[in-house]
Formats: sequence, structure tokens, C-alpha cells
Amino acid sequence: MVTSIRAAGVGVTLRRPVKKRTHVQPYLWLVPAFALLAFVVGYPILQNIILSFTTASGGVNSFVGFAQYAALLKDPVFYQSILLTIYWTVGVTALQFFLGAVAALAADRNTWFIRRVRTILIIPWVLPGVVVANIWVVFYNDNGLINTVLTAIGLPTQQAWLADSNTAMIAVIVAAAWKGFPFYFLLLLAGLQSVPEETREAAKLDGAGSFQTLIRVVLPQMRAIVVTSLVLGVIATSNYFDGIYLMTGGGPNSATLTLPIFVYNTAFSNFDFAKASALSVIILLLVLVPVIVRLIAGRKRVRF
Amino acid sequence: MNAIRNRLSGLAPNVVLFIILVIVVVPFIWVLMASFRQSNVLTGSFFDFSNLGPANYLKVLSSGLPGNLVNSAIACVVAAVASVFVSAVAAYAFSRFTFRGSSALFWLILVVQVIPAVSMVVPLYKLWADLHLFNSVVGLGIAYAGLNTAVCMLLLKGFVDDIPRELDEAAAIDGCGHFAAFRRVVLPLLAPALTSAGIYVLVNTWQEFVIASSLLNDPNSFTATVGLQNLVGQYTTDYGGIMAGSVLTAIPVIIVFAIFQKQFVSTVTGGLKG
Repeated sequence: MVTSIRAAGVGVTLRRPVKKRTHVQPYLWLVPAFALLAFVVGYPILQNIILSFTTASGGVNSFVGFAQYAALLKDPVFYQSILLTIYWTVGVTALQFFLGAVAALAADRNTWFIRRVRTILIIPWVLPGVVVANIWVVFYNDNGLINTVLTAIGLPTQQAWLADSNTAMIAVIVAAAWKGFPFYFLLLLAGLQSVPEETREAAKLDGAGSFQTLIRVVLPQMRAIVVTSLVLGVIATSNYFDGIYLMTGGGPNSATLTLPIFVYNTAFSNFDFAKASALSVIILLLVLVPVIVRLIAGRKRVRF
Repeated sequence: MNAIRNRLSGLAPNVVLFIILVIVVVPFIWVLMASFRQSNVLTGSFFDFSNLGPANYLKVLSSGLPGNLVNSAIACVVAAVASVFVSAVAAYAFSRFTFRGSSALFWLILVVQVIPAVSMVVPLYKLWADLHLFNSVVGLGIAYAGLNTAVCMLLLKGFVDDIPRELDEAAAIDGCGHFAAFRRVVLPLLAPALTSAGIYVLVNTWQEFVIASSLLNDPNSFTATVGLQNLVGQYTTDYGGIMAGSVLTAIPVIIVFAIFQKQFVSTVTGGLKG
């Protein structure tokens, strides 16, 4: 804009100082934020990429090219970890979305009582993962609440849910669903409330039942919010660390070793930082590539 | 027949809501009861009020946890203030100026927003160790600030966009300059949004565990989540103590959420507008 005016020779002498300032000034405003981002995010990621091309064995970092990546691609644990991450993400997302959607539909009314209930339903989501993990570890204990309830309703179970590699993943998924469903609850409730009441009234007048109204009238208008919440939810869930790590540490027998746990254990249990760096880079690519593709594909539709 | 059907369809949401409420609330009540139980923590029934007492809390309060709670508060406040400040300034620039590369830089922010914390653990650990920020609570706050800046900026950009340009442009042209216009006109109007963003960062960072546990290894600098996990390691099967520690770690964030519920919810749902 500024350059084209200058090229056309309009008002150059009169306005030059002002123009010069607006030229540099925007960047000055961005300095604090981008300096912080460069320091906390940018530089560490660069270092991470460099580190992933080295090996730390023998105390000296020596350059090994893609050897870390090649070793990972041959490592069965890595593939198992990817499969477990998918299993975990699909399980948690399905359960959270279901609970969140049901709760949102049931709480889509504006009374004093319902508003209080909503507040309570959100609380699990703001609780620290450590707290939630402790609660559920106790529940899953041999003598804990889950087994007590199952015994009470006649199921003869004395299952050690978290210690058995067949049930550990299901157990952490249920705990994570309890903690995280309010995310979908909040977003879907906001979506439901953004659908104008008139459209629902109109559908009712036309003789549609409440289920039909929901499927044919309300849901189509919520497509964007459903898609966005699922994208954000899947990204957050696939990278979720606290709950799994604190309940099982990735075990037993690596039964809950999702990628984030794999990275952490590689770095802080085996102290193989170079391998952990390569893994971090892979995780970063797994998240960023789809996001960037989506951003470019949806370029026209993204409003800034 | 129809009347019964209507009655039932009116009842169904309430039944569903009641079931979900029970699923959410029963663990709360159970944990609260367990934290006051002085024996049979695991096996005591819901209606067993015989051996309740504050012993678990007294024990936890004499551990490192109270200090850890203070550390958490420091790290969270540093993170909230720093990230909200730098984001507000940048959001103003993105909203008000047209400049070369603005959309590229804004895209960069969108991308930074989805970077998983766990992929930052190793490099941050190395960098923080090199800079002697390791075991520093304020250092952890700075890391949190950086990791929350992208979200804050996206949020605040939307709010600055909603403030009519004419207001601050008039002030800027009147000779007080863009920065004064920002400070005197935009910031006061932005105050509710700044609170919302700050609360969001507070709630987020209070929960945080993985970054804190890799940047801190001195019990005196632990945040509440790391300290609580440390207690779990020490107490092993002393579930009463673990439950009391969990309650103490959860209460501050529940209070903040209860007070600023409206702002928190609007932040979470407002992020979808873009």
C-alpha cells in the first residue's frame, strides 16, 4: 500500500516521516511476543532438531545423520506406541464426545438449577491431571470403589484394573473420559445455544418431532463447531501425558505406552536425549503437517 | 397417551442429566470423605462416619505441599501476566496495522498453538539447564508464559477486532501516538478480555505437570502437581494422605474457576469463532 503510493509519487515529501514510522512500528509491537516465543518455543525446537541428528553415547554429541530416525523406524516399540496412541485417542474421543453431547443436549435449558448443574459438570476438566489420576488409581484398586460396586451388583470380580495389561488401557481411557468430557460439553452446549430458537419452533410447527428437529435442523447448523471441537480434542488427546503417565507410567508391559509417554521415558528414564529428540520431532510433524495442510486448504475460509 | 409421552420426553433430559451429575459428583464426595477418614480409607463405605478426623490434612500440611502450592501460584501468575501482556500488545498490532508478513506471522502463531507440550520437554530441559533456570519457579513461569502466548494472542486479537477502530485512531491522530492510544483507549476497553485470558492461563498452568516435572527436581521448588506426585511416591499406600493432598491441590483451581466461571467459559467457547 505504502510502496504503491510512493511509486506513484503522491504526497511523498509531505508524509514521509509518518510513513516511515508506520513501516517499522508494527514490527516493534510484535517484538515482546515473538521474542518470548522464539526463546521458549523456537530456539528449543531448533536445538531439538539438531540434537535428533546426533548420538549422545560416550558423553560427546557426535553427528550421526538420520541414524536416530532410522533406528526408530526399525523399532517395533515405536510402531506399537503409534498403534496405542491411535487406540487411546479414538477411545477417549469417542467416549468424551458421547458424554459431552448427551450432557449438552440434556442441559440445553436456561433455568437457575440447570446453570448450577453446568458449573459442577465442568469441574473435572479444570482439575489437575495428578489429582484425577490419584482419584482413579484408588477407584481401580483391588479393594476400591469400582470392584466394590461390581461385586455389589453380583459380578464376582476382583480385577486389578491398572496392573493387568489387558484392562489397563481401558481403565485409563475411562478415567480420561471422566476428566475431559466437559470440553465437548462446553463447546457443544455453546453450539446448541447458537442455533436460533425460531428455526426449532418452525420445525416443530411443521410437525417434526424433537429427535427429527435435532438431526435435520439443529445438527446441520452445528457442523463447524463439531468439526472444530473434534480437531482440537483429537490433537489435545493424542498428546495427553499426565493421566496415563501418573496412573500406569506406560505399563504394564508397555500396554499404555503412547507416544508422549514413550518420549518422556526415553528422555528421563533411559536418559537417551538424542532418541527422545528424534521422537519429539516426529510427534511435532505428526501434529503440524495435518494442521498446516488444513490451514492452507482452508485458506479462503479462515478469518483473521 | 400423548400426554404421557410428553411427560416422558420432558422427563428424559432430567434423568440423563441426573445420571451424568452422579458420575461427576460421586468421585468428589468419595474423595472428600476418604481424605477425612483415619482408617479403612479404601474400604470404608459412603455412610461410614465413624472415624472421620483431620489427621490426614495435618500430616499433609506439615509436608512440603503448602510451599509447593505457593510455588504453583507464583509460576501461574508470572505466566498469566507475562503472556497476557505480550499477547495484548501483539494482538493490537495484528488488528490495527497492515504490514508485510502479517498474515504469515499470524499463521505461525496458529501453528505454535498446536505444538504438543511433550515435544518441548527435552529441548526446554536442556535450554533451562544451560541458562541456570533449572529449578527456578519464575523460570518455569516464563516457560509457561511462552507456551500460552499463542492461545492468548488468538483470543485477544478477536477482542481487539471488536473494539471500533475509530476510537483509538482518533486518539492516535490527535497526536498522542499509537502506544498512548493503546494504553489509554484500548487497554481499558480490553480489561475484561485480559482477565478472561489471564484466568484461562491460570487454570491451564495450575494443572500442568509434564513441563514442571522436567524443569524442577528440587522439592523446594516443586509446583503443587509435582509435589503431590512426590507425596504419592512417599506415602505409597497411605491413601488418606494422598486424598488430602489431592483435595488441597484441587481447591485453589476450583475456587478460581467458580469465581471466574463466566470468563473461563467464554474464553473456551470464544476460541471457536475464528
